[in-house]
Amino acid sequence: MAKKYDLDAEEARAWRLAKLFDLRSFIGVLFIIFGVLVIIPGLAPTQADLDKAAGINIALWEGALMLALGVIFVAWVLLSPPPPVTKAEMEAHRQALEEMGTSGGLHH
Amino acid sequence: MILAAETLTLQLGGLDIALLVIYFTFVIGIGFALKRLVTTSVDFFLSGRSLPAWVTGIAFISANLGAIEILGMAASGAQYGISIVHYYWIGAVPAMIFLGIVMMPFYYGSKVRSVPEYLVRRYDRKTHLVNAIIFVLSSILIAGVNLYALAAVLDVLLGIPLPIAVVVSALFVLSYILLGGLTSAIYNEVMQFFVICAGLIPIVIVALNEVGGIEGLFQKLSVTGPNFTHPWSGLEFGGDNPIGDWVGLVFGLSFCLSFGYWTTNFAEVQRAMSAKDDNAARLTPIIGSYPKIIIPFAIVIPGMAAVLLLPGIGESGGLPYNDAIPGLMNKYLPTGVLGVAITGLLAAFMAGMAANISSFNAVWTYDIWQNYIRPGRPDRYYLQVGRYTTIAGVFVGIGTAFLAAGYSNINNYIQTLFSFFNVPIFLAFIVGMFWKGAGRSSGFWGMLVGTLTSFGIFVLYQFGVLPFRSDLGENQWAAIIAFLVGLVAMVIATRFSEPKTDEELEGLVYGRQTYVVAAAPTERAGGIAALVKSPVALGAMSLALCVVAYVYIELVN
Repeated sequence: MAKKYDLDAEEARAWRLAKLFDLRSFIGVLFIIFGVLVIIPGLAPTQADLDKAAGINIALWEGALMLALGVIFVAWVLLSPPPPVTKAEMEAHRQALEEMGTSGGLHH
Repeated sequence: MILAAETLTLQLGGLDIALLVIYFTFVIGIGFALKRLVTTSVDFFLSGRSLPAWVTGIAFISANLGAIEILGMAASGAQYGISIVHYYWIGAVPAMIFLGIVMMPFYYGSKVRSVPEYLVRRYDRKTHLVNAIIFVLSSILIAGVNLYALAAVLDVLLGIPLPIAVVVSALFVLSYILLGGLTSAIYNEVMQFFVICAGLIPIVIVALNEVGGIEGLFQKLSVTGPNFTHPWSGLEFGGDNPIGDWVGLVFGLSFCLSFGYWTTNFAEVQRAMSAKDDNAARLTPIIGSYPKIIIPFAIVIPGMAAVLLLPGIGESGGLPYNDAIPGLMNKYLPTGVLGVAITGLLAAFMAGMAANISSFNAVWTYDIWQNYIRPGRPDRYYLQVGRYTTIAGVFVGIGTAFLAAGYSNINNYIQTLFSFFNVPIFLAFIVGMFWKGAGRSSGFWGMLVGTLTSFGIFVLYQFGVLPFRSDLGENQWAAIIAFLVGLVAMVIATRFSEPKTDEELEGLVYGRQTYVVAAAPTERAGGIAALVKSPVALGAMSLALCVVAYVYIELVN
């Protein structure tokens, strides 16, 4: 996975941002935060909380589940990050999209 | 749902509010993070046709899993019982598979940028204009209804005044779509999907634990009559299951209504069109069908459990059916877990509205503005129009929200709306794709006559002229009749209008598609690794899973 790419400074910065702002990074970080916050009351549950949820320590289960999900997403984006895009590729893609964006259905 | 005698107010702790704040910080953060990626109009309206199938697939189901759907289907579960699973396993999954395997190659391969745009190339301008205008109006209306429902929930559950809730939530949706376009909406839909799952799972666990598992639930509810716990009971003609009869379910609900919704509603199809290639586009609805099979266990089953666990629900003086899920949350979830559940519900409302707004702005800009008002401008002009349209759309949505008044069951309200327009539109698509000879103007006449027919049947039913067993039964039969009458209108109209030439139909009709499914690399490659990329194999597995789900329901009964 640690493939070497020949990127200039601008492309390298764009790639770092693409990895940071990957959807999987957002979901992973959100669920790690949620998991930690929810699991804390679950580690020492009050009797009132246990009674409310029919005797199940639901905060512990829910917190652990979310924490695991968050870790899976972060691991996924780290192990298989989005590939870098060169400026030439980006420009070609942009031109193709501009063409599609102006090709109205009546002008075919 | 705010008119009921008993009302529900949630007591949120500091932790619950912290979770809400963190989530909505992420929502806006996604908008800012994606801003730099939006440089063309296709980036803004179709995510630059760049997303992988798992993302578009989850967004596809999430755009449908708005809070109205969640609260409405749980309410239907409490009201009608287990038969409501037909709305998933017959009335949704087959349509999603059909879209992925059969229809998606026409949409994606022909490079149309919206669902209405297919019609201008397949038929003529008036067919297109009618469809585009209906879509623009209905998506704004539904955005407003979503917004109203969200604000009503904020008002009732959290005590936030309705006008403030309407405006604040609308501005949230506006800001993230304005910044990141469709990609923003899709990223938030995927994130919301996991949060809503995290919110629903604890309710299912605790509620089923209370009633003695799914067997205990069915056994305790079987005293209310066979229809409530047996999905196939009372479906014969003359039967008394309010869900409808089997012909209405199979042909009305499944073939007409659900095929219409899933295959021609641009708010859904747009997610598949934003996929990075043909195969990812075809996989989108098929990946989405798997959560759809499981969702009734997280929504309908808790709704049914609410009948036992929230005594008096649906009766005068008790909680309304729509409060089944929030009621269970309030009764059973401790602080923290409750915060996740409420976050999921609010996120679902917002995602529902965002899906409507992000499909509305694309159709307005591409189909109406670019075709009929200001054609031939450079791309960045249309990107700008898209941004202004988003602002205008959100403000019209706010206006609609203030005007929106509810039915007793929000779900029926939406179904009624779709039964007028969606079935005749689906008719024009399905005939257009498979009957090469259908004339230029036949699409228009099929839509017009079909819509008038279904409206006429609705009126006759309301005045008691036509007897149907329930509102749901009326919807299904109106859909069947509208489809057939519209089809006759299309055949007649074809006699009076010339057919399209072969060149005009390139990529648009069966036999002339640019993407031949059988020759696709993902269908020809052998081995297990290739199976997970094959729409046909995954679609067949999804249908088989529906059968397994039905068998399971019979076994636990």
